[in-house]
Amino acid sequence: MSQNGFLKVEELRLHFRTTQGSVQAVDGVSFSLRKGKTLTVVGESGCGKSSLAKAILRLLPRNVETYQGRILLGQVDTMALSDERFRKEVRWTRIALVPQAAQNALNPVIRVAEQIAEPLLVHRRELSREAIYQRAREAARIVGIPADFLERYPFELSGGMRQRVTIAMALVTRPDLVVLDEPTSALDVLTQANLMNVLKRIKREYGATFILITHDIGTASELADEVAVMYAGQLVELAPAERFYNNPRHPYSRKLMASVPTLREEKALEFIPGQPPSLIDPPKGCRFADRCPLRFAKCDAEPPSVEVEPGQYVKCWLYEEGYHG
Amino acid sequence: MSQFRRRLSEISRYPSAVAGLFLIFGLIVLAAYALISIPYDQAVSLWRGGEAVWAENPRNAAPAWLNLLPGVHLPTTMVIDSRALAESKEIVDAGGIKELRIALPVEYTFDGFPKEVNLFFQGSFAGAEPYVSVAWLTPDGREIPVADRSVKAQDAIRLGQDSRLTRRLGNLSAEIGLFAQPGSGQQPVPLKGTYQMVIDALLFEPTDELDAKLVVYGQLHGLAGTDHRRRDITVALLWGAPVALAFGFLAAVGSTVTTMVIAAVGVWFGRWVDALIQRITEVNLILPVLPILIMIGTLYSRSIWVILNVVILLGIFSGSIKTYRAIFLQVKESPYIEAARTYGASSLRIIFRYMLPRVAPILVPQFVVLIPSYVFLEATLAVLGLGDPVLPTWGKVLEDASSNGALYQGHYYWVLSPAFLLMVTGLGFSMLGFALDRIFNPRLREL
Amino acid sequence: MANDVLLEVKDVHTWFELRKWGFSRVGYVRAVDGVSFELKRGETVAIVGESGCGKSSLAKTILGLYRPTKGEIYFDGRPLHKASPEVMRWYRSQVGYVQQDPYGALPPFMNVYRILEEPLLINGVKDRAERERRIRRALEAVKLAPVEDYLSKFPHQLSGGQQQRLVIARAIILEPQMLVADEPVSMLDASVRVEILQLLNRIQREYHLGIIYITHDLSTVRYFSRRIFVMYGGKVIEQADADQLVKEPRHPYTQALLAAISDPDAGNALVYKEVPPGEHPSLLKPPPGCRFHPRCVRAIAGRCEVEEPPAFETAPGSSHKALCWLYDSASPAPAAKGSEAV
Repeated sequence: MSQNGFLKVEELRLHFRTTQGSVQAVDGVSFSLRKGKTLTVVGESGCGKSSLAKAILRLLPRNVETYQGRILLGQVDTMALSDERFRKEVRWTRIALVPQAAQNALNPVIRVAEQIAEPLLVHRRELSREAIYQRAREAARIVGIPADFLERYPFELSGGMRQRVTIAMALVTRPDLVVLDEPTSALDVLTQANLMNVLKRIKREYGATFILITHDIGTASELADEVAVMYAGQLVELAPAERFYNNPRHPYSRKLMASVPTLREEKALEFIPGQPPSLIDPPKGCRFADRCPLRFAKCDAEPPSVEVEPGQYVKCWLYEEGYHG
Repeated sequence: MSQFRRRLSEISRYPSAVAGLFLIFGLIVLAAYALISIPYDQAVSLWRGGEAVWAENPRNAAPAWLNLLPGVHLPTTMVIDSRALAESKEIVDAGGIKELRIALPVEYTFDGFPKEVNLFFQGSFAGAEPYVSVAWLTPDGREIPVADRSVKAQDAIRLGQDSRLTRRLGNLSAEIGLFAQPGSGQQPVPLKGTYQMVIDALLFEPTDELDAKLVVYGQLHGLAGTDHRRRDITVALLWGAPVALAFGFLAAVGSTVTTMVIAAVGVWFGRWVDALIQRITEVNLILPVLPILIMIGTLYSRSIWVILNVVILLGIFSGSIKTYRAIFLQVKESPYIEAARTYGASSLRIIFRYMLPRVAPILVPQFVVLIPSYVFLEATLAVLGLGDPVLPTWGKVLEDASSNGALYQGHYYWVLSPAFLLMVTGLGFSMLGFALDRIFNPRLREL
Repeated sequence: MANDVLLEVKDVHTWFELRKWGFSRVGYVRAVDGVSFELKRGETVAIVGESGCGKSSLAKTILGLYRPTKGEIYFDGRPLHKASPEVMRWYRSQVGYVQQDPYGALPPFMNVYRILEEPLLINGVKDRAERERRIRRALEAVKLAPVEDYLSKFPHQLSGGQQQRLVIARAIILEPQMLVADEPVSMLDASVRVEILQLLNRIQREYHLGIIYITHDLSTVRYFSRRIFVMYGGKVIEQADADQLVKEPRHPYTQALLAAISDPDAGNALVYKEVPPGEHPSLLKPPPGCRFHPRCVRAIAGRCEVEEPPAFETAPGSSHKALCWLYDSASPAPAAKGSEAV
């Protein structure tokens, strides 16, 4: 993995125990991210990307079976911290989360300003209330919430505005890293574009570091410096944005790219037949092999992650033999 | 439907559900047994009672199994019938007058005194009534004269009520005095051994016949004891089971299914239909169920069928309508209902085939838990004196117990046994119901 | 040719009454406020718009779930807006509905066979063997095969794509003439969307269906429809052939919409998108004049906020029309503005 890691995730694993077996939601994910850059994690439903967000933030359900790996934030391995220390020192203070469909999870009986201030009230109790609300107003301004909206209740705001509130809540403690899980999937096209503008601005003006999790490759390109493609709990490709969008390497990435209709260029659309494997008892070899048009004998074994070019990793046997697509 | 079956098999994962099912099954077996061994008419007539039916039972006796407890050896009822013991009769002829001697032996080995001692006569005579002279022979050789009188064709001497005998026994009532150890004074102790009740009868015609039956009433009787009218409580306990189960079940079914349908109809048609149903429900919520039932029971009829119907009627527009309505309002907005409308489903079809099945899983546990409430309701009415006048039910037993001061007199068994059965019913259904709730409503489950 | 026209929607308005306390009328939510278009047999038209523009209400009005407050709808020549129950019943067997949420669209307590049987039972197919035959045919048409494997499955046992195929199978089982697909793929994964849309295409050819495809995703529209109608605030503010609309959008809203769509391109991260400020207009109290004028960068002062524009041809004789004063024959169409660099 690349040097100068500000965030370095190594072999992160998260398995859940269910009545039907062990769900291997995150199965050996490794990547690194430099400060001020954005990693977009792209994948379809059931690939484990939401579980990845939870794993990074240690928001584990009761039936967790395996939770291992290393998450290095600067010098600190957050995985090694106790739950209480993690809660105090990392969650929401150094890493914040904007969860999926968060705009619907706002507390309907608490005003917007108070909700934005809440993380500070919990984690920075030494600040005065004045200072806290000052910071809340600041966070609201950064995401573009007009001042007079602050005294309103969530139901009075539109979906796009509410989503900005949740982003403000994530930013108010000035964390080192913000993880956004499908922040725009429930929003209209124009609202989505607006929100991506906001995130871009925050990134440029404040040097924020984001991990954006989405199923939408198009939206992902709005913010991405690095792109990671997730399939069946594993990262099958990790590459800088430009190289990824110009020339995706992994067969799955290619098929995914080919299945997304584009507005501006004409292309023949393809789809991937079949379904992703279940995360319970996934296949032993390459997990995409069943649906891969380029499958060959070696694919029965789990492929290694090959660095095809500096900073670009592909988990595929094709690249081990120097195959360049 | 296979979803349903799958869920049922999940019941085995919950020990409380299995226990509940076990209890309910036990109650059903009890009910079945009651119905088979004591048919309805017989049960009613038994419960009506009367001297003829229960003459040989002691009053207010405790359950006989108490004797199984160590150190307890209380008397159970002994019946010594001259008709059964041929050797008890001895005819001493004296010319035209028949002299009959009946000796009824009593083996008395108990630690306590009998409740009562009665001597029954049964005879047939053409002319004058026979004259008897009754004496009591104790194991230690005393002879106590008991009575000297004439007897009718069906007659009884209640020794305990004879005040002269009581005085003769040193102010001890006959059931104690006849068996007491002499000299035991204030704390009488029974004398164990073989006693004899000797009856010397003078029959005035040669064809006259006379039989005597001595009943030494025990303190214990049967599986559950007896009540103030000498009725075996077991009959009521047995018969209470089918009554309770049937009442609870029918009331629960009648009200829940109807409630569900009405809620669905209201939600589907909306507007004034919905408003009307809601207003009726709100008025009905305020109506106090128990006082209304009391009123009907007092002024109109206490028949269990009438009460059942009123209970169902009042139960239809209950608060659950609001719960179902909330659920149906959500279901109504489901895309699949919209789709059904587009392919032409009629309102009736949508209500019954598309809306109700969604609610059925929630219905089942609620329904199961509702059954014991109705059982208790019926028992409550009975305790208040408004139970069905002819049927023996658990509530009835409790009512008799309370109006006869059972607890004051120490007849705990009278109260405990029906209470225990009511409790078992409640427990069984509740345990099953709560487990079903967790099965049918996965959101309540813990992973 | 008149026979070619399957559906004719003429100036349809669907207004919902808002009542206070169930009694006094407060106003009307004008979900559909004057929409007209035509659908020919075998053709696909797309109705595009964001949430709150009225497209779903339009779909439901066409399906007969809502009665139009004003205007006329003709299907196969027959008037639907004042149809008798018999005609409506006949109509229901002629139109299929594919909904957005594949799982929600299926009753969870019925298996595949029962789900497909329902429309047949309701529409009087009495013979059991006939029903079975049609169910099999429908499942084969949507490629849920081998049919045996699926008949006894329940919706939760199927994947999202399979569920949507089942919904499509149910929509075509009565062999309708028209399909209304309301966001049929937006809840599916990207790689499955294409599959389902191609399936719809194939079924359209097989059954010679007219399809109304409602979506907010303009990227897919070009691949699957001939003609596009863009809705905003309850009205159709632009209509054109698909390629034409995407290449040369005329109405400022359409231009903004297209500009806001992100194709997968790393260059996007370097550029801010130009997005019109503000929110959707309230359907209860729409702004006076043109509904888009409060957000429009090219609004003409004194015109756009005063009077509602009619539909203008954007070029003489063209079928590309826009509801915008900019296309009043007096002034030519100005060029679209570029994007601001980050």
